[in-house]
Amino acid sequence: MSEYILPEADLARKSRFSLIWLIPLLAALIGSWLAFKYYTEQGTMIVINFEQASGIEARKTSVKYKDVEVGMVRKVSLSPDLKTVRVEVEIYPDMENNLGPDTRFWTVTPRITLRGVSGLQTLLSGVNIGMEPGPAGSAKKEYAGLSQRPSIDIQSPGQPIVLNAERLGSLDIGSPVYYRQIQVGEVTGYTLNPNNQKVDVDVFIFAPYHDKIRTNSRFWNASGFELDVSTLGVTARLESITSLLIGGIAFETDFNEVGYPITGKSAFKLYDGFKRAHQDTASENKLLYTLYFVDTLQGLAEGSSIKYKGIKMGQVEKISLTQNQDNASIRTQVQVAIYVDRLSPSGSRLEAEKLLQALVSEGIRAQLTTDSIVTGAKFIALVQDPGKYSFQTLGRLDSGYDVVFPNLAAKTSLLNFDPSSVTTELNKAIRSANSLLASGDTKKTLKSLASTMQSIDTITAELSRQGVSGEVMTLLKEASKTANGLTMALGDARTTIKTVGGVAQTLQKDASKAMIDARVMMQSAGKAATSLSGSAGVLQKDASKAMIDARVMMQSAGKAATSLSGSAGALQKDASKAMIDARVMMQSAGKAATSLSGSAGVLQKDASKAMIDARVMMQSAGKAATSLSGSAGVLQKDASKAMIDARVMLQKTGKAATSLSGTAGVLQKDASKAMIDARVMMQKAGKSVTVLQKDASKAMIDGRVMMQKVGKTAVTLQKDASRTLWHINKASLAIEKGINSTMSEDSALQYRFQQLINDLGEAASSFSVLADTLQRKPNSLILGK
Amino acid sequence: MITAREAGLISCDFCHSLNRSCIDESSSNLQMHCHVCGSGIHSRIPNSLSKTWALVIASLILYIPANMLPIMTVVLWGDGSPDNIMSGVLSLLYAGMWPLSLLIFVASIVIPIAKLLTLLGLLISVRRRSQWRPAERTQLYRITEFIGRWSMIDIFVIGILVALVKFGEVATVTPGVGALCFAAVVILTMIAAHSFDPRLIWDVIEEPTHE
Repeated sequence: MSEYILPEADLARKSRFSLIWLIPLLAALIGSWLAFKYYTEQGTMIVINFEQASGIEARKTSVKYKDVEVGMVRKVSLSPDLKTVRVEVEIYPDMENNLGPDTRFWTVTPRITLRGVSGLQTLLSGVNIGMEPGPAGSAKKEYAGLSQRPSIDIQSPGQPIVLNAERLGSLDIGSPVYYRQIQVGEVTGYTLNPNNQKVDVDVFIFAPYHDKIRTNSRFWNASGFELDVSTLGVTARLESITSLLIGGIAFETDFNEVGYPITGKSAFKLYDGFKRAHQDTASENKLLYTLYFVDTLQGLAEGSSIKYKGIKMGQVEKISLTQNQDNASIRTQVQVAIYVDRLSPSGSRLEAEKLLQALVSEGIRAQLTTDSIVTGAKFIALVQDPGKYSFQTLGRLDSGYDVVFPNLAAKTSLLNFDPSSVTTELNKAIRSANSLLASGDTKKTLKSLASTMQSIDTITAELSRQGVSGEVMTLLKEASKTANGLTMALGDARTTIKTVGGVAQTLQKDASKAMIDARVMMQSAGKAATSLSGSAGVLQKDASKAMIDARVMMQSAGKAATSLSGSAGALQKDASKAMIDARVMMQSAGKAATSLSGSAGVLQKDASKAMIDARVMMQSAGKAATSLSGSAGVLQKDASKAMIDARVMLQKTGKAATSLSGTAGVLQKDASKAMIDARVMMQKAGKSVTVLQKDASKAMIDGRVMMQKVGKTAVTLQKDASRTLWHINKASLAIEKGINSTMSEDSALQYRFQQLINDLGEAASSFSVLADTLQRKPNSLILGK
Repeated sequence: MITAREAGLISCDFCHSLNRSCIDESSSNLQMHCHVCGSGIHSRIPNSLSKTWALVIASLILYIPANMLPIMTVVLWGDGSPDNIMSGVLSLLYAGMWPLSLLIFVASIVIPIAKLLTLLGLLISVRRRSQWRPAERTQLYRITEFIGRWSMIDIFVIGILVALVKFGEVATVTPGVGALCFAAVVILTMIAAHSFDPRLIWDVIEEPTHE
């Protein structure tokens, strides 16, 4: 065994403690820390019930608030009744304190609406659950999940309200609410009200705009485009392009009216449109009356207005038929509403009723009046009964029965003239002419004529056989010729009558055309008159206002300085001078109008031309009136400006009273001038209207006269025809006699034949002349020769 | 057959030079150093058993969160949820990628468990001074030490994916706490395997002849 000498190992002290056990300790620490973390990080478990678990997955779908993950879906299961999906969600500890009783959850899905695109990020990441903590409070165990994001933060300041609508229209959740075209709120939801079958639209108005809602605020559906076509022109309303696309609501508050700030969630009516909302202003407070009309209600509709002196007082609420109890007949019943606030500024029903009673006592009655000749629309006018009226008392409305408002029959207007009556007359005439031609007498005459011819022929044959002289033969031949001429003449008469019929028809047409023209003219005249009266009314109002102002000013001026009465007298003189000037002006205007009407009369000769000219004249008159009213308006403006200045002056200094009263006088003068102008204009307009009406009626009368003439001519023709026939009869008799006498006396027969031929020739020529004249100038029948 | 310890010889682990043992290691509180390179030498790894025990216990503790917590979240087209090891394996299996699933299952679940169990078994057998099949047990140890590093494949995959796949909502991979724990388990078991002295298996065989 070999021995190796190996060096011994070096020696050093060994450390006693082994650090290796720190590792499991560390591992245990880490493990326990992880476990601790797991338990502390475990949040609150809640259950959200969704209608559908569209895309919600356990341990994948997160709950997000402001795009920060605040929770995670742990489990998705169905509710026992299979109606909802129970989504168990863990809300992380840092959010669990924000859970409140009104916390809302919804599924965030990509949505593309007309208002924009939202939730696009969820296209890739899948659905997540949105959360809105809501006000603080104790958390619930279960929450109801929404299918889409609620548009309004519960916490945002503002005012929720409810709108009752007949129909939802194009409104949707998120539809904007506008106040003076500023978006101030949103539609937050809608439900069908089970009690009244209307739609309850929940709306949220943001602060500070919720102060704009008062108890008298009016809401209307501003969806789409509102177009209003009326005699005042075309008005279009569009709240915004957005509302055109997705619908919207607008509201307005009249702060001049009595209204109180709302408290709590109030309910309002949602009107269909702006116009409705405004028309219905005072309809809450209205008086209901019933009217029974004898006239046709053609052109009257529910919503037609009731006007008193051109001011809308109310509207037709309902039109129906009722049975007359006493005689079992059926009559028309019109129920109308009269706005209280038009009669009583304070809105007192009693006051309004009293005023209406006073009006009825003075003879105010309801009358159907044509509003537009074009459309045939009618309205109910409250007019003064022109005849003797019996005192009538209106029943008290609170009696519970229908209160009948007295009414008048509608005015028969020129327009009610029916051209068909003329036509009927004309047709009758033609028919009688035809029947005359077709009558047995005529036929008989013709037959006898033919037989006469035959007998003449036989006589001629007999004579030639017996060897009568050539003279007699020629005579007889001429006689037969004459007979032929007679038949021809008869044929001519027939054609003439036919021509007359044609002419009559043409005449008829012309007449009806003339009628239409007359109507059109009347329409334009009526329109012009309406517009004139409207502007005149405005002017009158302004002028009267100005007058009142002037009077007030005058009173204060008088208080300030009584010594100015002398100068005031001088001013009055000036005013009267001005009045005289105005009158002169008026007269000249009247003259001008007269001359215009004179020229119109001249033009009247040619009916159609005259009508066109009259229209042109009307237009120019209207223009003139407009320019007059324009100048009057300018004058008015100046006057009011001056008045304001004057007032300021008065307030500032009392010393300047003298000059002030002077100015006041001048102003008064101007005002009265303006008044006079307005009146002149009115008169002119009235005059021209009456002139036109007269013209039209003249034209009508002419038309009637024409018709009558035509009828007369037709009768004359008939008479002529019968006379001619009589002559023919006579002639044939004479021929027979002549033939009889031919056998005995040659010269007498010859002479008589000659006479007869002459007569017949004359008759024929007169017929042909008449026919020619008629063909050349069909008017001649009407106009005379 | 004589062992180095019986012959009073110690091989330096670092420079492999032989040293003569001059003290009784188990009773002395002195530390021997290689006379060539000066590194500490010992005939058996000191405190091998307790070191191994400590590491194995640490691994066992961390093995629980490693399997419970998600190791990785793969978000593909916005869709994805955190996966732990087992759910990852299962999802791969359901996706039809069973070879890959099997690989991960073996590398991430079978091997760590097998390693921990092997180490535990070896530790217990050494403690109980078992004389059962020392050669096979040594071979088992060798396999364990060799194969243990392959468990890191999961961690490497996660590391690469996290670094490479960053496309926002389209595709993103984020590591989870489980990955850290798992990495710790793998590393700790590797160290534990390393700290185990397989010569201890044989010491029991040696001792009866000693007595």
